[in-house]
Amino acid sequence: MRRSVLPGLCFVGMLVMATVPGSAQKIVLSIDGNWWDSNGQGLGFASRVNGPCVFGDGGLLQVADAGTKAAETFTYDKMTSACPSSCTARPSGVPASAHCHDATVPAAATGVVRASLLPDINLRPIIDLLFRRPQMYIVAAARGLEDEPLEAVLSLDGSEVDVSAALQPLPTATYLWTLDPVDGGMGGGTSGKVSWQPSQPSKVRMPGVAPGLYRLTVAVEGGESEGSQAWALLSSPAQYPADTKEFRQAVEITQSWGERVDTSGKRALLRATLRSLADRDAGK
Amino acid sequence: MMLKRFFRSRIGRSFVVLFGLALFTHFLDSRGYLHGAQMALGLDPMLQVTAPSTPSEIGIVEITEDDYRNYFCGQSPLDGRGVIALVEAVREKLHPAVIGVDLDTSDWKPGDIPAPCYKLDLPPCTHKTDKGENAADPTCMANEVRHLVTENYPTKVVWAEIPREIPAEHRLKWYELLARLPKFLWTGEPEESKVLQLQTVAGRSPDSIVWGIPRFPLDLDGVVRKYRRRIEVEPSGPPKDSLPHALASACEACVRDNRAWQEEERRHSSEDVILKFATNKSVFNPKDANDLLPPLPGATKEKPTQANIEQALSIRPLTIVLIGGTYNGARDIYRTPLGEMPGVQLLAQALETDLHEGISETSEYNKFCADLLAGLGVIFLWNSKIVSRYVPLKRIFSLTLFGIPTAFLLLSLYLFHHRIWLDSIAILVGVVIHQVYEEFDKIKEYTEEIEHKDCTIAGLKKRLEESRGAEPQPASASAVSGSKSDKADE
Repeated sequence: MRRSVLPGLCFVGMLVMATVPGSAQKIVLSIDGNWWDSNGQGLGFASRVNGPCVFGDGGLLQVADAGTKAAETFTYDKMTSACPSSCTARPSGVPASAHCHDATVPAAATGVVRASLLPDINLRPIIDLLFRRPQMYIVAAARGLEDEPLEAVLSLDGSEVDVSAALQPLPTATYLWTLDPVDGGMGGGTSGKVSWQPSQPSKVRMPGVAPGLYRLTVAVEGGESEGSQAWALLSSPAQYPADTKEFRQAVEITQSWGERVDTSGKRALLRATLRSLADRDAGK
Repeated sequence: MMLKRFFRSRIGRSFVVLFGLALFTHFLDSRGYLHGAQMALGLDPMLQVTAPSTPSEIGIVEITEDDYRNYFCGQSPLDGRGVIALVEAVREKLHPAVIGVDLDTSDWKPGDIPAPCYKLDLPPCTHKTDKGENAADPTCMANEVRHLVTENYPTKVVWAEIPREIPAEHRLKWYELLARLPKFLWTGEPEESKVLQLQTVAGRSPDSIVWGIPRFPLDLDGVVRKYRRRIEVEPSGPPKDSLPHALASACEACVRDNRAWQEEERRHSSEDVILKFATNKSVFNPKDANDLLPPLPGATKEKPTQANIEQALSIRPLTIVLIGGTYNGARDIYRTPLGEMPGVQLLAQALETDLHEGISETSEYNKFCADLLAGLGVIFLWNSKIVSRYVPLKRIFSLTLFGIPTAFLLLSLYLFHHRIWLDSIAILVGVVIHQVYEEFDKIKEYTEEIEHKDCTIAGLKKRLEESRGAEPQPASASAVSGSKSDKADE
């Protein structure tokens, strides 16, 4: 009896320990320029970041959170000289020209609903195996056109994708999204939830997703199961600016057509543009 | 102590395995891992075989792609006054008792001043001001709808109410979720969005309006196979009628002498009912909207084909007529076991099912019990002394592997004939695994028996002599020597 209880207790203990958040230790991953922490301590590669703020006089600083395994990049050009309220005072030794920023490293992207109970273990695949998805419904009535996602170029940064460009016309709601490769050759689809608010960045985590052309389906959570679709090109940070620029030109052309061409015609051109960009990115 | 001994015995172990396997197959079943096989090998073929093909008293009027372009100027959502004109045309030309409008009318507002498509040639929705000028009539739309729902109107009109998603603040609280935990663990289904906000027709038209919710549950494979008579809506209160059930309830002539329907009505069931799909679209006497609406200016009527004439002659007097859209912009096409189907046809299938009894699915508990019953059959065949005495092991194997699943398949067919769907795939999986276990256990038992007993020729001779009651001492001596010589021979 004791033999069987002990491993169980150990396992429960490990679970409890895993759920208790550790001290939020932040480490410098990458540094360019002069940077200081809230104590006025000069930062270097792998040094510990103390306090709620960082100060820099140029370049960029990348900080990782040891607890959440998340990283955040602070760029001097995007920071202002006005300090956020969390930075109470500028420590001595930090030049007046240095900009400051809140040193918080977000644990997860905005709008991502994590199924994990533990901070650094994603239990979603296991939970998906054990429980079935919620009951879905259709509404069998002729409804006409509704807001649909847009064809768009989306930035794929690691495993994070900012889907705001595609969701732009949709009203505020929580949406279930599904991403499937258009050509079906880049592995299976991935899905998740996103809390969308118009004109706000909305990053979602898509682990294992590679750059390429995808079919993005969105459906209102708790509503109908029939989702609306659009094509989305996931671009790496290196290719994203060029892809966006060219795609914007295509959008402007379709906008200039006005009422002379219907939506499906405009959509066809945008999809053709996305496909050519995807082929170029893939080196075809 | 006795219980411990029982569980150590072969039969006890079999019962433990049976219960464990029943739980395992229930897990696979409830989490949807067997769904594909269940539908492909069980329900879908049965639905196709038993589909009714005789014309019903339900009719469909479709707004086709041409109608959408010609009568509604290709504008979506459809113009309200155009839809009302179509309802009037259906009443005048088909004389049904009930008309169902399977169109989204949630955009119609009390103060709306509709601008009907010029091709429909409707009178202007204006009134004369005191100065004699034409001004938009803000009550026009409400008056048009009111006209359709007055007591004097000879046909009942039932409208589709489009449900909306539930706001986050109205979702279940943690303690409510906790109370549902046992059911959640048993079925594996997370919180079900039963409550809905409705865009009620009553907000823009008289309270006497009849409506229903055209909402259908979707199976795990994205196929529609079921409907519900009632749907829970927000705010909490009695469940509201689904559109098929609201149509059936509105048709007094259809349900007056329909005892089965009345019995179901008394039960107030909100459970899923499997649809009885009609394979042929002609069962629902389809007509295009342009057959009923006034001809377009300058348009010539095409000469009817033989098929048109035969179809027209076969139409029975229609009791219920459904108006729906099959144009592409309607976004109203769904996957069913019979292929893709427009929403209005799906609604007709559900209405036909509602009026003439659908197929009920066996509950999870009954399925669990059936699985246990099949397992008991396996245990009986493998452990019964009577069976093992008269039936060779090979035949027991075949009986268990094929006989029990076949028996349950036949039972499933019989129940389906009586409008009950019992899935036998989970039972088949359980029986096969249980069979393998019993077989291995039997082999283990035989091996142990052989190991514990002296099964050499000498040993067998010894036991034979013992059973004959021979003198023990010399016999054993000869047996030992005999055993030695036998071993040497071997």
